[in-house]
Amino acid sequence: MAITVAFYGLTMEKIAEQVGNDVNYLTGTVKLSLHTSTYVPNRDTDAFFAAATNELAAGTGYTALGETLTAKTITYDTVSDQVRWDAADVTWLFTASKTWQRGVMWIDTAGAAAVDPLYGLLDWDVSQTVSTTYTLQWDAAGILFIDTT
Amino acid sequence: MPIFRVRLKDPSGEARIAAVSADSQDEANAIVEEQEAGHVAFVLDDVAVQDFEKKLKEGTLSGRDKARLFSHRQSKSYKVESVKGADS
Repeated sequence: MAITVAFYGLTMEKIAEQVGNDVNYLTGTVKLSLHTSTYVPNRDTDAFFAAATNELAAGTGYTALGETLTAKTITYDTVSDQVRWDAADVTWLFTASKTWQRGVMWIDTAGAAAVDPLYGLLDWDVSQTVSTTYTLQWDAAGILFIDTT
Repeated sequence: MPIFRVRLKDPSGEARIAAVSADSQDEANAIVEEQEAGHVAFVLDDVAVQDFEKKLKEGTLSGRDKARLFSHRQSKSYKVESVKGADS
């Protein structure tokens, strides 16, 4: 099952411009939330978590606002000339059926959803329905990357 | 949480320079070593290897597949050369 992962464009612009600390992946509280296919993302215009609609309902193993990423790293790899974002795999202990298609990585600033930056978008291509434990194992290439060549 | 800078190297001279969010130097070390184990364990099938190698030569390989190909080629973990606090 292929999962497409990409940066939200407006946040990447902020990262490149080094504007503010609220887009700091390593020091910020980065969460991963799950959303149904009804959330139709626009990486060119969606900037804050308030734009990421149709999050799964809390309960039966899903926590509102998603799981916090741990063991976060940003690594420059000289052989591939890539900078890679990575973290520990994420596990949900679902006890009832859950259906989602999109994942949203975002930074919880502890402020309003209207100021919490969106970071990365995961798309499973088709809806996933799971009713037991689900582990999202990140690619060997990391979660997100920039090729410097 | 503090940020540690970990430099890893392999005998060919290639390196990885990682910024790691961790509670301690030991934890930062453990995180990068686990990632290295992931690279070593990652294996592509023969069809994918041939396809990726061909596209790499042609300059048409995607960035993600390039990363996968280099992980596939990696047979040993890079060794940690140094671990430093971000401000040191």
